[in-house]
Amino acid sequence: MKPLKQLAGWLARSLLLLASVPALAGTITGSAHDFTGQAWSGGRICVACHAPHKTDTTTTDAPLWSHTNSTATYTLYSTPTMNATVTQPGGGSKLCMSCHDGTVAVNSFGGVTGTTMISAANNLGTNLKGSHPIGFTYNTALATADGSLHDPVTRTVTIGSGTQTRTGTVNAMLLYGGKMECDSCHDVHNTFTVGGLGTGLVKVDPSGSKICLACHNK
Amino acid sequence: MNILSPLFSRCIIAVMAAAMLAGCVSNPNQPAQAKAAEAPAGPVFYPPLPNSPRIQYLTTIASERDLAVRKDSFADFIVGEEKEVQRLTQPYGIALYGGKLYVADTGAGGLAIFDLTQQRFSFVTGTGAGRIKRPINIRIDADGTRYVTDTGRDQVLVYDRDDRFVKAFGVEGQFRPVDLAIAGSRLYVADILHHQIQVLEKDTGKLLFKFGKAGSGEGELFHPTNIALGPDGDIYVVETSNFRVQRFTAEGKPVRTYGTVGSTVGSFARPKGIAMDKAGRLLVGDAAFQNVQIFDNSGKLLMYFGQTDGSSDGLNLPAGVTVDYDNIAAFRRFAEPKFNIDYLILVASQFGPNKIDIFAFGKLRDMDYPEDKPAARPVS
Repeated sequence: MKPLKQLAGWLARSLLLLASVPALAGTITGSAHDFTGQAWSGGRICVACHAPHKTDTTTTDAPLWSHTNSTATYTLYSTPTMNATVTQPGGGSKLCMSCHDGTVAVNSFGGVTGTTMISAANNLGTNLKGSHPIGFTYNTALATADGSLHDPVTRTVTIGSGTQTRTGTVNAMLLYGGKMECDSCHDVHNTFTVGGLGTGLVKVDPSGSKICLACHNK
Repeated sequence: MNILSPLFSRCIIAVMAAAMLAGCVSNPNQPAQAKAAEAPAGPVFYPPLPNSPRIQYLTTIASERDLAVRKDSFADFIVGEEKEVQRLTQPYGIALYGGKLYVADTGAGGLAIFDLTQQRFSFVTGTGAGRIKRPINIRIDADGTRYVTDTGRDQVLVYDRDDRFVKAFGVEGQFRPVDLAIAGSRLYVADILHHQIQVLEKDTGKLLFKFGKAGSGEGELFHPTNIALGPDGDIYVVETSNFRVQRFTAEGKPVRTYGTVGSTVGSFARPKGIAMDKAGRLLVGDAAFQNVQIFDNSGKLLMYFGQTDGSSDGLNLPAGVTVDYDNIAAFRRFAEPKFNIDYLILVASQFGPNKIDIFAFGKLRDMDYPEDKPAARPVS
């Protein structure tokens, strides 16, 4: 009964495949940032972004030529000279951009580092097509000046889907330090997302442009 | 009341406007002081004085205006800009050849070429079969042949010394090249898609052999991005997602690895660009630390550089790191007269206003330097 055996084998294999595909919102495992199946770093996912402090003190780490700062540790993506003009995105956004730089996965930014969207003269000369600007402060003053943005302090939004949702003001749910960043729209840990694998880890449903309309009053 | 001519009255208004606006520009982090918009006041050394410095920051190139002598900014404000200034968008790889600076601008989709002797800027995108899609790195051979890695086309694009497209290496599904190293008659291409190094014949693009496979063990690679040829003939590969540099012989036999993941000095968190100097030192850029760390060939950390004391911008998501011994004369004027330059270090920042920062590596005359340790015993 060879054909039957083969059929059974095929059925079993395809069922297994079906079982492993859907990535439910709520876990980083199974999402686009789950690197466990890819045989690197001993299956550790988190280390890609959360570098551990080195506790091994047997090797000397002091730089040979520079005797200052020999015990310096870095808070990733904060620089000691963080200028924090409105063109500087937060550390979280820079972490995203450090990988999404044109070499792996999606190239995240077409170089747009907008200050505000109002005066193009302040724009650092980069073209506006390709991606939404980040790193600018989105507050009531901006909404008033622009005229077609919701006030982030009063406008409410719900992020996530299924059993993992959260509701609050745009300022509390989407902004970081009052600014729009990459994580305003994307949840890298896949905790509060809408849609399964391949939909971009977005926090609000992109169908019908609901995600845009959370902030833009059109 | 037409006492004043229209031009004069416009000038008066402009002056008043400038005076008022200057007071408005302030840095939220340092509200009390006016931020220096131009280069920092004194020379920027790494390590800073009173240490014996090994590196001096020279200058930054971010747009075509950085080529010419700096115009009087006040006159600029009055007269205004005549045309759009071409700026770098999202640079990654840099090469210097024959007095010209070549920048692979990923965001702009082309090569920005700064002619340092003629003070001219041009932007090459190619047409038809030679159209550049998403350039990452550019490497230039001794005879002037340019090799551009393009992750939009998943090919290595070859241009001759007059920037004319010659051919493209790579068939569909073969690789996603991020960087390549030119070694004699071979190209070592870092393939980020299959986690391996593909070795091609330089003239024909024929695949000679490959080495590496996905993993984090010895001889295995994960997301190999940038690659450099050492003075010893060995190949040094930055594995961004294994947080280390792995060294192979020219035939692909693994020799050793450098570095581990960590947030401390001497570790790696997002290593990308790598360059080797003639003494075998590794210069590795880290986009998480926003610096470049220098190791000697035995793996000992020598120093790191890239940030300032706050008075000006430092590296911002550094990507490509390039070392150049042949074009020092073009930047000599930016260095302290007493600083003897061995070579230039060029670092591309993908973000922020300082797109290409140029540093000089060398020694300051009349300062004491600790003896450089002799080369380490060969690693068994």
